[in-house]
Amino acid sequence: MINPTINISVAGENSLILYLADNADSKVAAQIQSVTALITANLGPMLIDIIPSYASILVIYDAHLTDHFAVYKEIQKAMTIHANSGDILASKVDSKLVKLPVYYGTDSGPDLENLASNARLSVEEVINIHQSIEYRVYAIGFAPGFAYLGEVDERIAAPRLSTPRQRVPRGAVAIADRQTAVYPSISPGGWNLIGLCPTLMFDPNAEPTMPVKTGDRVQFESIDEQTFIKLGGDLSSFGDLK
Amino acid sequence: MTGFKVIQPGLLCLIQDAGRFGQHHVGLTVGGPSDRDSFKWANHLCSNSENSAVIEITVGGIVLESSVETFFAVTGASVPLTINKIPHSTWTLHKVNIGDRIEIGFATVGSRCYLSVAGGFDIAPVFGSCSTVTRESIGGLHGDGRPIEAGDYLPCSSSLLAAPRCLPKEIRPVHVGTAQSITVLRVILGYQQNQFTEQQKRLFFGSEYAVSERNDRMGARLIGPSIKPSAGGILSEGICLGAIQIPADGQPIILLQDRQTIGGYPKIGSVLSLDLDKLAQLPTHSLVKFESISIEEAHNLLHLAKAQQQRKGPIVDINLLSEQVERLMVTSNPRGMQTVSTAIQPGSYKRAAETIVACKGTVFIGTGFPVRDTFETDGPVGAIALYHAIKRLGGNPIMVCDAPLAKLFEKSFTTQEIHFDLDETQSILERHNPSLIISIERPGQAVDGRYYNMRGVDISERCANFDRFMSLATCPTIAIGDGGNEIGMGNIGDALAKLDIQPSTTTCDELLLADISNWAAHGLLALVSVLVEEDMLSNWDNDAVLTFLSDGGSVDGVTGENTLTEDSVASSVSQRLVKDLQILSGF
Repeated sequence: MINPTINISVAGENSLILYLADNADSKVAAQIQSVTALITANLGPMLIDIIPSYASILVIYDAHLTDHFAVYKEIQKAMTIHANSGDILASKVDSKLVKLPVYYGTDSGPDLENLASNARLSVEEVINIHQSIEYRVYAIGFAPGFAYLGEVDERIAAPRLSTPRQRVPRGAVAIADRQTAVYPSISPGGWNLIGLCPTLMFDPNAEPTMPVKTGDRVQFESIDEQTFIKLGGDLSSFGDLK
Repeated sequence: MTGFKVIQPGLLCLIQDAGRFGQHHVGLTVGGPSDRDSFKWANHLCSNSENSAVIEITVGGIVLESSVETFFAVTGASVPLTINKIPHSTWTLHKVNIGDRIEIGFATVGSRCYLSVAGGFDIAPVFGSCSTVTRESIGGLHGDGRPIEAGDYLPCSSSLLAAPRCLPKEIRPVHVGTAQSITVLRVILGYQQNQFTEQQKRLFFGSEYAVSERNDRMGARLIGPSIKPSAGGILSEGICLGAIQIPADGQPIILLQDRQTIGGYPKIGSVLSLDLDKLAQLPTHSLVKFESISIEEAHNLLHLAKAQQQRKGPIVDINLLSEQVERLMVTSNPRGMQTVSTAIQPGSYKRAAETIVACKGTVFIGTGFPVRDTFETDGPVGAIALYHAIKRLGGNPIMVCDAPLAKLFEKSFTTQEIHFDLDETQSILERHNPSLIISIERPGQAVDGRYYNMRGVDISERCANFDRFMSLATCPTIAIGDGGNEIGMGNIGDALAKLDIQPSTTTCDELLLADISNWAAHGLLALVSVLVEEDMLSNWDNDAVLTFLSDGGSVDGVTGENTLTEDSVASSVSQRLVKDLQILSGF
């Protein structure tokens, strides 16, 4: 039996945070997904909420039903179960592969040309590199439905814009450093926009609300304008941003 | 659909319930009330569930018009509250009627107040909650995160009856933040606390910070000595309520209800939620100071706060209850008692109840209104109610009446018979030495010294003199009447001149009016219930009491028939009134 060294800190009066690694990678993302599921199941009604992120899990518990000693033990237990049967569990956990269609192009991605020329690549090369990688959902936050995906190939990694846009349209596919994302709703934003995705990333009326969850895998697939529009995409929402 | 129409939306008014939980995995924050303590009390005053939707009013300035009869309360910051321009107190349940206008002015102490309504505002939840999070465009009246706007209609159902509860001053949260006082925020060290050197921690806990103008529901940005962690940014991680984030400029930000769910700044720990309630009420430029506590201490404080809240709570406001009972007692006004009630100083039921509670020893209860050769049902029913209550309070009640009622009472109650042709007042008083005398529906002498019924017929030949007990007594006296010809009505002689009756001139210390005298006894006991914190109206069976009297030959005072009615009103109506009085007194 492996007894994993684990790093759990107090976060607040009713929260503990579990750190699994110093850096995010796809193995850690899978581990976080499986441990999050174990903790959620073990704590049951004592759990108020849980936030899996890049390399940590914040566990928020009901301090009137339990305390940090008990929750600490539950987290430890989840880690031990995971360590002993991690691979089996990881394969059991619903780490699904989600394919997201993207209409790449200079009319749907106003920063595509700039990014390509800064990277000394052609637009086609940037598109091909972006869709060649199977990303992991590292975290969900910033705004409802905003999924941080990693890791972007170093060749097309690009820093945030010096002046963020006041308005980024819903569905914008974007790159910032070695992360990529699809904007779930209209919002300000400073990421480099390279295309549009017709899939709703956050739909309050859908079940589930989001097509992905933390730990899931994502692959982008290039589509043409016609397919984009057929899938419900709307180019006019973009108009004034270029 | 009933509800409140928004005439003026105020500076920032948001629908809030307890918050949106279990949705962090899709990036949704909690939302919910900034001052959870005041929010809880607002719902508590309305007897609502803990998660009912209220309006969080920042600074103030909201005007509402009610299209419904219901109850509401305002808690939190000190604000001027008016209903139809008449000032009303906060931390108290108030009635509103259709067309009433509720106005909340600007906060004088604190920043946020909470308006709750009986049953809560009826708003469709989004992701399990109707809490408004503007940043996320989630929740609120339309589900899209918009604050309350002029013309909005906030639906709520009607509520006709509720105990006038208030939260006593000593239990109310203290939200005073003035330039002179420094609010202490207790902190549980955590997260990246190891990245802060002892020296940085000493600086943090040893300094005062001011609440900056950049202070909203997402976070409170503070101004003071800069704190520097030994490392820079971190991988974005989950943020809990109250987390203290130290960004690059070293100025702490306390993350609040509408915080982002993940973030990449180092955090030194988190503020205790109990202290966030205080922070939520602090105006800009207020000073705060941090104090370190352990997680165990934090849990202890949370449990203590919960236990205290369960132990102490709203109480029924005796003055408001008295006003409501006095109004309720004369609502139908069959004999003009509502008309003459203005002649009585408000609070009569409360004062009478206090007299009863203070009284130890013997209490005379005089009753019995002769009708032909028997007695009417109005009077004895209330006398029986009072008799049982006084016994329950530890007193020694004695029924004082003439035959044939005295003969019936003798079987079940300690009874002192009096005679129309024999005056033993002095000797009876000396023998029993009562500490209180109550007269309920007992004929009182007119100016000519004679007794008249409501039709003006002289009944002196059948009526013993109880008036002399009232005038000779050295103890307090209470009298109840419903027509103007009863003992005690001498107190409001001028007002009675309007009525077409032969009024009684006999006075008392405290006169209680009602549409039916029996009802006054129940109303009085509702007030006694609140004073002694025990339901004096429990187990009242109006039918059983009327059956007992009817078997003894009683008649209805209005119809003259031997029926189970009081002044032609069905027994069920009285029974319902008792039920309503129980609700009003909070039982």
